[in-house]
Amino acid sequence: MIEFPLWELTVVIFSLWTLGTLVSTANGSVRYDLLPGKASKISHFTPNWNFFAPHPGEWDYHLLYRVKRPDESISDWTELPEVTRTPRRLKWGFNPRVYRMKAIFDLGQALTSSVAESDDVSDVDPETDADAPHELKAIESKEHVLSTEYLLLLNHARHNNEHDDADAIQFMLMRSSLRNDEPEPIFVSGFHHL
Amino acid sequence: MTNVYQLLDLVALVSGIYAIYSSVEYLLIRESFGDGGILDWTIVRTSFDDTPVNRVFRAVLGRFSLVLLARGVLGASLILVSLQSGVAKLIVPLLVLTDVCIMFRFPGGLSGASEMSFVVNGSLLIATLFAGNARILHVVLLFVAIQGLLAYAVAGVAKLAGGSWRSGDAVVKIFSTSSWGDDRIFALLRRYPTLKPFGSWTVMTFEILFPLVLFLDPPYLFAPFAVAVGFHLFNAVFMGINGFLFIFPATYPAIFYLNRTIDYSVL
Repeated sequence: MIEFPLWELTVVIFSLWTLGTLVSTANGSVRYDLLPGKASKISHFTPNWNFFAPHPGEWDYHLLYRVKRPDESISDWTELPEVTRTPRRLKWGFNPRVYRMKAIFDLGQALTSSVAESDDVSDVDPETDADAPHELKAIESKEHVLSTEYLLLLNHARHNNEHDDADAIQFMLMRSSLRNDEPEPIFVSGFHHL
Repeated sequence: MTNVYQLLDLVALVSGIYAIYSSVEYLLIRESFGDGGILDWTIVRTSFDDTPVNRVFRAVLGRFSLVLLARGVLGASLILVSLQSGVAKLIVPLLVLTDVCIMFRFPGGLSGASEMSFVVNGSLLIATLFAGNARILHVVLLFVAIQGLLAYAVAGVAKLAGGSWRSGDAVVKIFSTSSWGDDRIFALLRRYPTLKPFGSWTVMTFEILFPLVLFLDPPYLFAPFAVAVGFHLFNAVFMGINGFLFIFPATYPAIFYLNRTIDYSVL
């Protein structure tokens, strides 16, 4: 009777896992999406030990929104405050908000990176151009508007909108740090009907 | 103490504590996963293809609060039982499943603590399934140790590759944020600029040299482990990254085992 090589199999699994860790970490972001079919899911299982390296997280991200009313007037920008605030006195031992903050950081990074890498600079909403701060153009291309990141941010802003008379909503991502006096807008959506 | 079973139980104990801790933290922000939350499930679920496996997966992830609640209970159970017991064969696979659920529930990225939790619990799963096979348990401990050492050393080398880390600017950038930093440290760095390179080179040196722990005599091992815990404590207090403080020490019993396995010391 042939004995199943359990030990050898364990060694192979752990070796591949370690190799995956090294490759994943060495490259920062391996193009797992180039792997065939479901093999790309392997990226979820290989840890990346590049903590804050080589480029550290250097910005706070803020999610803001404004609304358009039926009479075409536009509200001021309102920040969704709970996204980045963390109570300092609890931060050392208990910091659940780090996950929410990390979520918006990751969503913002993914969205702005995909816009930066995109060739599709068309579909800029002409209506919002003039109003967008610092001449940032509102992104309207389907590639971004239909992305999970965009939809999550829009959905979050929509649900937290406090304007009862709103007809349409627009969101903006800004980044700030203590190194800079003024926050800087990095992404503006178009207006979406409510 | 180089008893494999005792060391694995120690790894499981620390991992169980992290499971409870992370479960409570995630549950406290459960509104983020609900309607209108920043990770609203009705949006995230659309990123899953419609396959039989994903249908099951979506059904489970749709009850994420229950998954988190179960994670806390499983963590507590892992603390109480030995990995050799029959019930561990049920607890550990379910705990790994909660790790996987957390991974797929966050579309952006995870903290290193969550990744380490999956690595540790995934290894414990193999240890549990083959609890009677001493050779496999040996490999499990070696793997956890290697991942623990890699997590420090690779992070240090990756920092060394970044110009802003070598100059010390990275430290200023991090502490200038409210997300990862602290305004008191930022003010201190502005007042005493020489602290910038001192801080970044201290971190890089510690991380890169951490694997040397393998070549210390057991009586001296307490020192690098204490420094590592101190490092995570500093990050928890001033950066709010506290998950590492609870899960990274789970690898220390395995690192101790690897140290004993090599059995070569310079000190």
